[in-house]
Amino acid sequence: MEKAALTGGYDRCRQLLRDAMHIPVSEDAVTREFTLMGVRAALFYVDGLSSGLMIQEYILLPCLRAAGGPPTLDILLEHLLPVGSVSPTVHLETALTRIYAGDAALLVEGIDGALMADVKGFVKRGVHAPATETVVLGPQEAFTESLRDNIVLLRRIMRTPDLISEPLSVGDRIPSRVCLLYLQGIAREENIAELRRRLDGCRVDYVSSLGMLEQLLEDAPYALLPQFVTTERPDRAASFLLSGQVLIGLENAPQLMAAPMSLLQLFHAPDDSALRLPYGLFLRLLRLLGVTLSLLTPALFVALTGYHTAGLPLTLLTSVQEAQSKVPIAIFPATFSMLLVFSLINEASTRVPAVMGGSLGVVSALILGQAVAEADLVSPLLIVLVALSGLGSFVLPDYALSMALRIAQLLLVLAAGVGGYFGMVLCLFLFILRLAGQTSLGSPICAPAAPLRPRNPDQLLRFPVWRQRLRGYAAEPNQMLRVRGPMRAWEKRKK
Amino acid sequence: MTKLFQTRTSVHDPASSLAQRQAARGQSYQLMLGLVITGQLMSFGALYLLPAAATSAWIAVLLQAVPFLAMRLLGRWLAATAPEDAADTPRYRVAAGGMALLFFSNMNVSLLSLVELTHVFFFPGAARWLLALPAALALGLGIPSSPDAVPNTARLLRWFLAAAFLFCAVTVVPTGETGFLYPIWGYGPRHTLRCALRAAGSVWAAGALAVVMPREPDRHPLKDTIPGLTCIGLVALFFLCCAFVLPGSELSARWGYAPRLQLLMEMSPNTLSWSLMLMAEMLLFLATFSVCADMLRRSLCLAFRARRLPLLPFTLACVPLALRGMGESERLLLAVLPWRLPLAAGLMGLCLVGNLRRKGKTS
Repeated sequence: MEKAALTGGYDRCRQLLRDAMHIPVSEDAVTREFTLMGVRAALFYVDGLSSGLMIQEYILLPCLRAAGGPPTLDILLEHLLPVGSVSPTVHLETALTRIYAGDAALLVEGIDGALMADVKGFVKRGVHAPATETVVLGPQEAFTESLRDNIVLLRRIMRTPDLISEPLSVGDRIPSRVCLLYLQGIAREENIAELRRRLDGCRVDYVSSLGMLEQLLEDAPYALLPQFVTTERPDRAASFLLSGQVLIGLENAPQLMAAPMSLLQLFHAPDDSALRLPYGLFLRLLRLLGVTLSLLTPALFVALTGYHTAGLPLTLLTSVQEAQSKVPIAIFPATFSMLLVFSLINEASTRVPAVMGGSLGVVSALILGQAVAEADLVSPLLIVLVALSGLGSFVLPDYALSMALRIAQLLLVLAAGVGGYFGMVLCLFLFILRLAGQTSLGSPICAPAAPLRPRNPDQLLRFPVWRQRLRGYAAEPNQMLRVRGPMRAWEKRKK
Repeated sequence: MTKLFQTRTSVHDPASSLAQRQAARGQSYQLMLGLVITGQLMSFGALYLLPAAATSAWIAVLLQAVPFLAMRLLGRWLAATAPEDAADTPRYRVAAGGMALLFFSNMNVSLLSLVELTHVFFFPGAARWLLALPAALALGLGIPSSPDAVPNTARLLRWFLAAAFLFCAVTVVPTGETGFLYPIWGYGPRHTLRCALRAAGSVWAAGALAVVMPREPDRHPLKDTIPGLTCIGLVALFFLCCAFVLPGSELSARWGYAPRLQLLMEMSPNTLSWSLMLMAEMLLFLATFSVCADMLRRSLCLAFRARRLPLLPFTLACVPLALRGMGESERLLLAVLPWRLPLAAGLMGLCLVGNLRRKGKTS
C-alpha cells in the first residue's frame, strides 16, 4: 500500500490517487472531475463498491449546485455533503483503504488531503439460517460475510452501550477489517489487551479467513484442540459476551470467534439453554456417551481382539473369531482403514455439490457398506462398530472438536494396534497431559474443571438455568454474579 | 440499560478471586501428591505388605495417616517459618536436591510397577525394554513444561481413578469367603506396627511441597489433608478387600508381584472390571511417574537455580531398573524404600532449623 501524503497541491494529489488506483487501466476505478464553487474538484471511487445513487444524490448534486467563493473544509463538512459519515484524511494509504472498502474520496483544489464519504453500496448476502449450528428451538439467524451486518445482528440482541466494537486491521499488503467485540466492564481488561497485542503483532500480507486469523493468534498452533470457539449464531455470540469472553470478527467471515474458551464449551449446543432441564441434561449425557464411544470403542476393540482376548466374554470372542476367520484382513488394519474410509465419505459429503449427494449416498451405503461386508473384506461387526463410533463423533456440536476427535481416534487405534492396552493407555495419558497444559489466551483450556475456577453449573452436564448465577472465570471478578438473589424471585420462600 | 453493572459485588473482588485461584492451585498440588502416595502405597503394599501379612496390611496402611499428618504438619511449620528468599538459601537448595533424589526413586518404582504389570498380564513373551523404553521416551518428551499441566492432569484423573478403583473393590466382595477374614485384626500389634513402619516410606511426599515450593500459599490446612487421607483410606480399603478374598499364607508362597498388585483390586472373572482395573492401574502408575518427574524438575530447578531442565535424561535413567524386573529388584527396593521418610523428614528438619535460627537472629 502506498505511504505518501495527500499534500502539495491539487494536481499532485490527483495524480497520486490516479496512479495508485491505476486509472485508466483499471476499469472499475472511477474518477469524476468537476468544478466546485469555482475551483477544481475530483471524486474517486470504485464502481460497484460505492453506491452510484448516493454519489449522485449526496455528493455530486450538492457540489455542482453550490455557489459562492472558494470552498473551505468547514463549508464542505457542514453544508455541502449530506452524508452520514465524512472525515478528512491526508494519508494516501488510509484513503485507498477506504476507497476499496466502498467510500468515495473527494479532492478539492486549495484543501489539503481528501474528504472520505461513506457511500458504501456493494452487493452482499442477506441473513440466512445457520448452516452448521442448526437448532430445533431458538433463533434461525446466522452471521453473514459483512462485518457491519454481523455487529448489527449482535447489537440487536445486546441493546446496551456497554457492547464495544473496536475496529482494528490485519494484513500489511491488503488490510482486512477486524473487530474486537466485548462488554465493557465484564470482559477482563487483560484479555482484551492481550488480543490487541496479538492482532498488532500479526505480520501477514492478507488474511483470507477467520481460520487463518485463528492460526495466527492461538497459543499452541500444533495442538490438536482448538483454542478459540467459533460460532455463526448471534445468540451464541451474545452468550459468550455475557460470560466475559472477547469476540473477534473479520470482514468476509460469516463467523465470529471467542476467547478465552473452555473445552467444555465445545460440548454445548446453541439451543441447550432453550431446552427444559430434563431434555437439556439428557442431550448432554448423550453427547458425552457419543464422545466416549467415538474415542475409545475402535481402540478397545483392536486391543481386545488383537492382544487381550482374555478380556472378552467367551461368547463374544467366539463370534468375533468366527466372523474374522472368513475375512482376509486382520482386525487392526481393517479398523484403521474403515475409519479412514468413514472420514473419506464424511469429507466427500461435505465437498460434493448438492445435486450429486444422492450418488454419494449410494456409493457409501451400498457399495462401501453392504458390498464390502458381502465380499467378506471386513466383518459386519467391524462395520457396526465403525458406524457407531462415527455416529458418536457427529453428536458433537463443534466442527473443530469433531475433527480433533477423529484424529485422536485414529491415533488411539494406531497405538492400540501397536501396543494393545499398553499403547492405548499411554497414548490416552499423553492426550490428557497435553490437554491439561493447553491454554486459550493464557487461560487453561480445562478450566473451570482443572484448575478449579468459579463457574455456573452449566459445564459438562447442564443444571437448572435459575442456578446459573455466575458468569465464569473469563469475566472480571467483580462482575462474576449475573444477578443478586434468587432468579425465581416470584417463588414464595419458606421461612 | 445499566443493569449489567448492578451486580457488582465485593464477594468476587479481584483479591478474593486471586486467593481462590491460589487455593485451587494448592488443592491441585495436594491432589497430585495424593496420587503419588496412592501409587507408592500400592507398589510397596504389593511388594512387601501382602506377602508379609495380607490381613495386617490394611491396618498398616490405615496407620499411614499418622506419618502423613506428621509430614503435613512439619511442612506447614516449614512454610510458616520460610523467609522471603527461602528458595535462594543453600539449605533449601540442598534439601531440594535430596527431594529430587527421592522423587527419582518414586519414578523408578512407578515405571518398574508399570512395566511389571504390562509384562506379566499383556506381553509375557516380550522384551522388557520394548515396554520401558517407549514409556520413558513418550513421557520424557510428552510431559509439558507448563507448571499447571501435571496438577491439572491429577485433577482430571482423580474421579476416574477413584470410581474405577471403587468399582473394582466392590466387585471383589461377592467373590470372597468370610472364612478368609480370620484373623481380620492382623497377626498381632507388633507385626502390624512393623508393617506400618516400613510402609511409611511411601508417604514421605506429604511434606515435600514445603521444600520444593517454599512460597506456595497454604491457605486451607484442613482441606489440604483431605486428598491425601482419602487416598490412604482408599488403599486401605483395597487391602481389606484383598484380605477378604485370600489369606496371607497363600499369597506369600505362590504369587508374584504383578498378581499381588492385581489382587489388590480385583479377583472376579468379570471382563469389564478386569479391563477397567488394568487400565486404571496403568493410568495410576503413568500419573505417578509424571507427577514425580514434574516434582523432580521443580526440585532440580530450585537446587541448581535453573529456569528449565529437560526431563528426558531422567525418565530414561529409570529404564535400567525397569529392565531388571521386580524379581531381581525386590531386595534392593525393600532395603532402600523404607528409609525415604526419615530422609525426607531430615531434609525438612534441616530447613526448619535454619529458618528458626534466622528468625531468632532477626528478632
